[in-house]
Amino acid sequence: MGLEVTTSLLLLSFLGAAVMGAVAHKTNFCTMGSVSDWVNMGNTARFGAWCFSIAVAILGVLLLEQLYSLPLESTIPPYRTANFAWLRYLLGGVMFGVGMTLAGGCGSKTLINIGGGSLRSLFVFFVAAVMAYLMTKTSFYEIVFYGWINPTSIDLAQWDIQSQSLTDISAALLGISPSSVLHWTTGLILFSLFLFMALRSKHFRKNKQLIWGGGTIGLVIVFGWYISGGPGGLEVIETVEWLDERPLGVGVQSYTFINPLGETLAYLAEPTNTLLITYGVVAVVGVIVGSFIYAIITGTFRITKFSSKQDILKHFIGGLLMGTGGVLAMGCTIGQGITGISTLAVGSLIAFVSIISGSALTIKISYYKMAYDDEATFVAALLSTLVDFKMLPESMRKLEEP
Amino acid sequence: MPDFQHELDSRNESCPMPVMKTKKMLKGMAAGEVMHVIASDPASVQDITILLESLNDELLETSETDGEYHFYIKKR
Repeated sequence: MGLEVTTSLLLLSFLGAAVMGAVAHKTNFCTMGSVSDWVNMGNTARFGAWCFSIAVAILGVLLLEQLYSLPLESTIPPYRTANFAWLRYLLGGVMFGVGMTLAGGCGSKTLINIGGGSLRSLFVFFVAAVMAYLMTKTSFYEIVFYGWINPTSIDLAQWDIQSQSLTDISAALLGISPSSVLHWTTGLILFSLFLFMALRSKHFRKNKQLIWGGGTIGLVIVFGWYISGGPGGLEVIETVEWLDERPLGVGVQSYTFINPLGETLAYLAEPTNTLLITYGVVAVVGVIVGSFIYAIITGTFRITKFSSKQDILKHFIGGLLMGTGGVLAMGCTIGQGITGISTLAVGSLIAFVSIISGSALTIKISYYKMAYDDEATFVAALLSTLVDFKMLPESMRKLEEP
Repeated sequence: MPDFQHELDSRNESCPMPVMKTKKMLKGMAAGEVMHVIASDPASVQDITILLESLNDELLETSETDGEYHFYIKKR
């Protein structure tokens, strides 16, 4: 009975994800690739596409809130929660950024690559899925992280701040009440910021494919919010409340790809339990299928394998960090980077910056070690990278920039 | 197929390794020398094109055979 109630919603989630998978594959939209292009080559086309997708998603969600009163105060995950777990977003983001670079792509890119025939990415999928499962379905998070991370979280409610949205935090700083006008103002400021970051890139402006690719992905995120939190989605949520056996994961949400890996693993372990088929699980399948269909139509489907034992280890560590960091940060490059930021949640912005930082550091350090034929120590490469990023003075450089 | 003095086999390596290794090899080459890159990641086509634009080096020829991408790059 549970699956019947949610069937339409799940189908729509699948379709949206399939579009995302196909479009991202075609346009080479890749958040990790965007950091790599920027750091290695000074090319910001793909970063511009990521920023453009965020801008589109922000504007779309503002409109959905206005037209349908989209209830973003309780979402899956709770992006706007008043429990401001800044250290989770920061540490989780950095871990995820490092992990996605080692693994050759973020959560969604891993799924896109699986659709394209990558056995490496299939391996990363399972490693990340196991970690996501451990973090969300067992006491792993409580044992390893909760004791020391939870005390650092800030309860905004103690200052009568109802959420970590830019609106509520701005209202508190300005000493005024949150209002629709303030909400639109903060939303449009953030929209303008990301649009500016996209359009200031001449590489992005010249690349029609990435413009429509980024725009489409932003619209898919908006679609994701609409189907779960618009009139139809709210009806599903209400109906599920009355069921004796409720399907998991029903709530207001849009696309994110790390927690759903754990959910997918949970479903694969009990395939006859249809209550485990969540919005996230069908999204995971949708991205793979969309990418696969594109790869078959264009003749680009290729089985790719590991190149060495070291390559296996690198991808294993990458998957480990992605699965752990992605849950810790409450989302990935899509989940926090587009979906979360579209809710104007400050934590999502922290996660976004942290993911980019972790990835950029990893790329630079890897390049130093490669350029110096591994004679450079990790510490020397790290210090020199931080000097390159102007985070340390030149006097602390250990290696000349290759 | 152009003559080449350097070769990089980046098959079965995932992004961003092919482009990073290509960049490293190009930096060590003299002007006029040619390198041959073999990659299996379809994304490498776009990645290497972007790299060469940023370095102002020349892509002499590119081809694909049975899932292997071949690039012949001349250092300027």
